[in-house]
This record gives sequence, structure tokens and C-alpha cells, in this order.
Amino acid sequence: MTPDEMAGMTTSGGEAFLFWVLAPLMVLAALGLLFVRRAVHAALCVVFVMVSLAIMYIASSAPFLGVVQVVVYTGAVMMLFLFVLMLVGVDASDSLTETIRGQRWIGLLLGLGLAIVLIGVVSQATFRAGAPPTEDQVANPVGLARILFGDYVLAMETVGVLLVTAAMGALMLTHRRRLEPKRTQRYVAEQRVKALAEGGTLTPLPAPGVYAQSNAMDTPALGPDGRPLEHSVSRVLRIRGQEKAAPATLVETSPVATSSSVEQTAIEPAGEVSPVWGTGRDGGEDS
Amino acid sequence: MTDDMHDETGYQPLRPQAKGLGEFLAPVAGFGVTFASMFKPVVTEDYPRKKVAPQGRYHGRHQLNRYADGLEKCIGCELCAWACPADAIYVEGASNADLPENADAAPGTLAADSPDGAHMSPGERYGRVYQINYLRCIFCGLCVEACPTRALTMSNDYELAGNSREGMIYEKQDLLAPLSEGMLAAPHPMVEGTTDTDYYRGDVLAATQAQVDWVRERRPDDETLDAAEAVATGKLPAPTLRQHEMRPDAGPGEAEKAAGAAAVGSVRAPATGATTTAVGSVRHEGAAR
Amino acid sequence: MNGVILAAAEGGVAADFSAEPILASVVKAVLIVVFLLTSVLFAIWFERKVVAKMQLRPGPNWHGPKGMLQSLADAMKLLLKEDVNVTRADRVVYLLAPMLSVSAALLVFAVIPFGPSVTIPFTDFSTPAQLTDFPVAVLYILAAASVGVYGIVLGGWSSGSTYPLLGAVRSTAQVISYELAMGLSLVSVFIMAGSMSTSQIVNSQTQVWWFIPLAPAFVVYIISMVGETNRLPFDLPEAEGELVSGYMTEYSSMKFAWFFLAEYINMLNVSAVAVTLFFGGWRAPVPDGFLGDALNTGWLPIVWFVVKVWAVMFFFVWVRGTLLRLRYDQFMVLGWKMLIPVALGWVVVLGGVQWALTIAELPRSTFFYLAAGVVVLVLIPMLFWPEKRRKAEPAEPETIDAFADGYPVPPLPGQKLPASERFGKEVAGSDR
Repeated sequence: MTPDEMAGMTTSGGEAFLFWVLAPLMVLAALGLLFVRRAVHAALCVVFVMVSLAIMYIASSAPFLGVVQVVVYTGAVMMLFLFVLMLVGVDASDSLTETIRGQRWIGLLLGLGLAIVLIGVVSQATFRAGAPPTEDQVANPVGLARILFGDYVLAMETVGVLLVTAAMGALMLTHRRRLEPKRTQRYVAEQRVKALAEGGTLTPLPAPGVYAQSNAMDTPALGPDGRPLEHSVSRVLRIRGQEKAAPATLVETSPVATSSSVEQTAIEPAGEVSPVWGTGRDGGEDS
Repeated sequence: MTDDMHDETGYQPLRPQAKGLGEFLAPVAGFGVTFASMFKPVVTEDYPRKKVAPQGRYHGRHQLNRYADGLEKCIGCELCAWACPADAIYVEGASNADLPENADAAPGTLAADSPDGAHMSPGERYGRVYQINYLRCIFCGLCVEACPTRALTMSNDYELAGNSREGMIYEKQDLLAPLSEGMLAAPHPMVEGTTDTDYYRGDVLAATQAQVDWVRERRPDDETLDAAEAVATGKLPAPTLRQHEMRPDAGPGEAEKAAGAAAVGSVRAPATGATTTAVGSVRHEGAAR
Repeated sequence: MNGVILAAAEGGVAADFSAEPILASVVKAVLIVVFLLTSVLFAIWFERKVVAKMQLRPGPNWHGPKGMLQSLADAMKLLLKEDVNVTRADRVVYLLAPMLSVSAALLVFAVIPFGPSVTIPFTDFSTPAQLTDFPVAVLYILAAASVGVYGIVLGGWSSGSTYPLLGAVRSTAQVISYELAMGLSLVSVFIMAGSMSTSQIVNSQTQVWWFIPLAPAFVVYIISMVGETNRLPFDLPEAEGELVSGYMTEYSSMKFAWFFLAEYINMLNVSAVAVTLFFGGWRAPVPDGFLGDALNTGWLPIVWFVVKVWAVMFFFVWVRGTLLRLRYDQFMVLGWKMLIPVALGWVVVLGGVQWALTIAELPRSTFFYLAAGVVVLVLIPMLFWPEKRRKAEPAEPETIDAFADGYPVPPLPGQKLPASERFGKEVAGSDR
């Protein structure tokens, strides 16, 4: 490297300051990616590195690159990562059991190879003195556009077609054929009215009970006659046997619930639902 | 709604459908509605600043009325308490003859239905304790229908809020109609030679000189004496019944509110201090319910 | 940083920042933050008051003249409220999210031009009424918006609760989808203005504001800006009836106030972008050259700009007062199947027009005949297109024989699945 080239590499005070503030933070964040335990925190470290990198690009007179870095990588790609991580679950920490035999050694080997390649490239690189931009130089995005859509238009279009094809392929592979006709709102409403003759209900089913002692989905509501309404509890809970008894003090008025046992008061009145609701088949619930 | 749908379902729109430009703009017609609404007068009331009286039939807080000479109409019969579906009313009746003012009379000299001697209400009995729990009251008005002497009515006061449960139990002094100008504060004898039936029929129009004298003899400092005497001697017209009034229009300040309320006198005295001690034992019984 | 960025960026930028001292940038940055915070206070009052008027009620009228201090009182209330921390929350991220939201929201106004070059009174120091500008300023706005989404996502995730997570997922999906349509609608402005620098775009609107010639792109932008800011009718992330209050359900006190602040600053942001890109920025609403351009110089343009921003803000409130919340799937259909295709198609059409006028250099008359011909060619088939028949209601489908050939088979199209084993099963202990 000639002294002349070295002179071209020196940066202005502001840029150097920016670099020395951001670079250590970026290294810390990059290390954080390796060492933090939660996947979302690792993703945040990556986001920080990406945004800092974008700021560096902008400081190095490449505003277009910097902004696109944020829009595309931070805004779209990392967001997708984060989406998946979030939906996996809040408490899902990474499992540390190795699923591929010897993956640690393979990883170390590959990392070492990458390091050798990078060191080789960086040490071999020569830096041309960057001429300060002049007044008549075309603006950054315009220059980029001339190169992309002038010199390399064929490559650009090819890549574009390739990406569209990939997206279409993904759509095709994940597309499912509809096996049943679509149930429109009108159709559902008509079915409900038809079911009325067979004891279905038009209205929503009564909500489960809310008492001073329990405020829960699994406690049946009491009807106007004081007896529990079995179908106010979700059908799934009922079938699983997770339905709770209505509070015994409130059920006492029921002529059926003569037994003092709480268990029995829960079950016996459940058999005889108040006549308003007919058979108690869930006409409204699952349509 | 497209035309072909109308044909298929036989649906006829009830409102005339816009044509031409109106039809074109129909999807965004709502914007016009909201924009036009901005220039219409508001429909709300400026409540705490300006109070608007509700309709006359409004069921507000209760009032225990008085006869024109200042005696209470309530006879402590408890019919209102029995009628109450929410169990909000508590009444204890007592005999007028047992009033402390009658303690000096020799036993047996005062007949139960005698118009002489101190009376809180005409006739034999009066309501010694009268409480309405406004945390329970549903303002159905069945108590008013049940009242045999028209003692209990409902006013238009809807400002019934408090910051303690005890404070929401209104005592008799909170419910009694304020004394109008010219009424004589009870207890005092009934108008001479009348029965409670005369009172009920509305034949008693004002306090008489005998009643004023009776009170002057026993309570010479009573504030209502002068006005009552003026009425009794015909210098002033007979008193008219006064209603509980709504508190006056309040400004944003606490002080203004308090001042305004005190001016009308319809605000409840706080349930501590003098008023409580005056009916101390009674209050205790009622609150324990 | 200003100087660093702009050293290379003179080419496409109209405003001149070459002689800008650091102090001027700092003062401008502070002024922008002050402007935004006071505007938010005003915006909350403005929104409540206008919505109230539209609903025939007076709105806030107790604190200050016409209730104007209501938002100040609300802010005080939020400050003094108990700061509830969720036990299951991820502490660091939980705190970071609202800060991220606000700081990303504050970034946008850095490149918004409030006016042309202004001279500070009593000095001869002249400076653009804009913090900074560079050739990709509008892309920078999009970048700031996409960082702002992180605040929402992280806030929803770190709360460790279901509704915030659902709200965050909805919100992110919404912002990302509508950012696509928004970006595409902005592209047509770039094509016409020939620049992505905000000051240059304002300068390109001397003859006509872009919302007239670019009406389709403008409509797409207006719709997507409402979606982008999670406002009614697109406020699905905080749909009260469904999600309590979306990603900010678990936030209280000051942390909630930050999210609230970010939401209103974002409204101001998209309004300012709309004004800059489609409504001529700080230009006076008069023909070019009117009164010798006196209305477009000095400090007056800042007034035009603020008035226009508040006109767009009024539109936000108007929409809120008029329209109902959409269902989520309809909302997504609107974004992906309407706005994005329309914006894409419009960019293609505009590209063709620009090519014809600037590169192929067709004479104007030829171009207009050509355009009219294309329009007629498109319209004729539309007029004679056969009307779509309404599909008959789906017939009762045939029930599948699940073991048709002796082994389990999936249903064919139109076949009905048999009822589940559990369906209609009696509850244990029931005597029915």
C-alpha cells in the first residue's frame, strides 16, 4: 500500500467518530448473537448489526445501499425471522441437544474455513483512493440505476423472473384444493333456520356461569328456574368431563337436585335441561 | 345491492334509490352525513354546568311530605317497606303519646287519638325511624303507590351518588320535605278540634295561633315561629308544599358546588357529627341491618 | 452526521445544505421534536373534538378554553399512573419496544421540507427549513417506518400474553402489506419528479400538484396510509371487541403513553409525506407566479405546509368518524388483491407514458390520440362484457364413503366429511 493510497483511506472526523462508536457496539451485538440464550434476543442483535451497518453505508456516501439495507433486510427478512420465533412460543428456549452427529465439529471446521477465506480476501485487497464526490457527479440512485438497468439489464431481468418463478412455485406447493364448497354467511344462516325445526337455536347459546365463587368457562349458567343450563358450557369441555358443578347453594332450589352432594347436583340437573332449549343439541355452537 | 339481486330475491328497497351522480357517490355518502353533522347543534346536555330537569314523571329520590301546619304525613305504617321489592326501606313506627315532649303529661290524660299534646304527625302514630337504602332502591315507585297518607312521593332529584355505603342510607331528616315559609316545626299539637281524617282531606290549611302559642311556650327559640304566627294571623298566605330541589348548576370548582348546594339546602348533611348524634340510637339500629 | 451524509448527495437534492453549521442542525432537530410533541397534544384534542362534532356531541369541554388542555390533562394522568410490569414479560424487550416505536416515528420528519430557504430575522443567515435531505430521502422514510414495526412486534411478544401477541402479529402483517402498496404508489411520484429527494419532489410541483395527474397512485397512498398507521377503519391490531387493545394491552402509564405518542406522530408523518409528495409540499395553493411568487418565499410557506398537514389530519378523523372496522380477511384482500395490483399496473402505465414523452419523444398530439385509443380499446370490452351469473347456492354435498375401496380415502371435491366421532357424543353421566 503506497502512502498515497493510505491518504485516500483516511476518513473525516465525523465519520471516524461514528465508526469508533458503532463498530464496538456492532461487535458486541454480533457476539451477542452467539451467546444469548433466547432466540428473539439473538434476532434483535442481528437487527442492531444490520441497522448500524446501514448507518455506516450512509456515512460512506452510499445512502441508497444503506436505506435499502434497512428496508429489505431489517424491515422484511429479519421481520419474517422474528415472526417465526415469536410464534414458536414465549418460553421456548433453544434445545441444546445436538440432532446432527458431530455438528459442533463440522460447524467449527466450516467457521474456520470461512475465517481463512475472509482473512485471505481482506489481506489481499487493495484500496483505491476514493475521490470526493464532485458537483457534476450523478446522484447515487441515478448512477446505480444506470448500471443495473443499463449495463446489466439482462441479468437483472433474469433474476427478477427467477424470483417470481420461485414465489409462484411456493404458492403452488402450499396451495390446497378446496374439498367442500365455501360456507357463506347466507348459507350458514339458512342452515340455522332449517335446523330450528329439529330443536336447533337461532340465538347464541347462553354464556357460562359467572358467580362470586367462580368466574369460569366450565361452570354452567343457571336458568331462570335456578337449574344449571348444561349447554352453556362448551361442548368440548363437557365431553372431556371438565365441566364443573354450579355452586351448590344456588342449585338448592332445583326440585331435581335433592341430594346434598355437590357432585350429584352437578350431574343430575344437567340431564334435565330447561325446556326452553329443547334437546340441547348445539345448533348454534358449531355452525 | 345490484339490480340482478333484486330480481332474484324479489327484494324491493324501501327508500327511493339515488340515480345518476347520487348513485355514483352512494358508497361514500356516509362522509357527507358525518361532515354535515359537524354543523348541527349538539344533542347532549351540558350536565354538571347546566342541569336540566327531567320529566315530571321521573322517579327520583323520595320525599316525606308534610301537612300545611308542619306536621309530618308519615304515620309509620310500614306499608311502603312491605311493598318494596328490593327491601330498601326500613320503618319503625311509634306512638305520638310516647314523644319526650309528652313525658310531663300525667299518664292517662292523653288519649291515643287526642289532638292535644305533642304530635309529629296527626293521629296516633308517627314514623320514628325512616330509612331508604339507595344502594338497593330500584326506583319502581311501589312504595309511593302503597302509602295510605300520600306521605311518600318521589321527587325529580337524580343526583344520588355518594362515597360511602353508610352515606347512601338516607335517614328520615334527609328524606323529609323542607319546611316551607309559614310551616311550624313539629312536634306540636294538632289543630284544635280536628282528627287525622281532617288532615287527610286537606281541611288544615295553616298552623293556628294555638299551635304557635304551644310551641312558643316550650321552644321560644324556634326559627319557624314568627312566620307561622304571621300565617296564623292572616298576614301571610297559607304555606305551599316545598319540594326537594336539584342542586344548582355547578361550575368546575368544588367550592362552588358546595356553596350552591348549601344555598338551596337540599344537600344531605354529612352522616357524621350533630345529625348522627341527634338520632344516634336510631341510626345505629338501622345501619346494623 | 448531516454533513457526512450530504457530502456525496448534492446531485439530486434541491435544498442546499452545503453551508450548514452543526448548531443549525441541532436547533432544527430540537424544533422538529417540539413541533411534533405539541402537534400530538393538539391532534388528540382535535380528533376528539371533531369526532364529537360528527356525532352531535360537544367533546372535551372542561379543561381550558374549549377543552383544549384536555390532552395535557390526559398526559399528566398517564405520567402519574401506576407503572404495571407484567411478571411474565421479557423485561428488557418490554421496555425497549415503546422507545423503539417513538424514536422510529420521530425520525421521519428529518427529511420533510417545511418550507424553502428562510432567513433568520436580524441576521443574514439563510438556511433551508428542513433538517436534512438526501437523494433517497423518501426511501429513508419507508425505512424508518419499517423499523417502527419492530416496536409493535417486540411490544406484543415481550408482554408474554396472548392478546398482545395476536395484536402484534396482525399489526405487523398489516403494516408490511400496506407498506408494499404505499411504496408502489410513491414510485409513480418518483417517476414523475425524477427524484427521491423530498425537496426536489416539492420543486417538481410548481405547475401542478401530483395528486391530480397521479390520481390512482394518490388514492392508493391515501388508503394505505390509513392502514399503515393502524387507524380506523383499519385498526384491527387494537380492535377492542376482539383483542382488548392489541399489542399495547399489557402496557400502562408512561410506556403506554409512548406507544400512544408514536401512533399520533405516525399519523403526522404520513400526513406530511402525503402533503410533500402529492399536495405540493409547502407551496401556496395558488397558480405559479401569482403575486410574483411572494406567497412561496420566506416564512409564509411553513404556514401552507402546516395547514395542509392538518387538512390531511382532518381527513384521518373524518374517516374514523364515518367508516366501520373491516374484517381482517377483507382487509387483507383489499390490500393484496386491490391496492397492490392497482398500484403495480399504474406504475407500468406511467412508465409507458414517461417513455413515450421523454425517451421516444412522441409529439403531444400523437401521444394523446394514442392514449385515447388505448382507453377506448379497454373500455369497449368492459361495456359488452357479459354480466356475471350469480352462482347457485352450494347443493347439499354427497357424504363421503370413507372406505370406498376398502381403505381410507380423502374426500373428493364436493363430498361432505362425515360427522366427527365426538360430535353429538353424550356427556358422561347424562341420563339422556
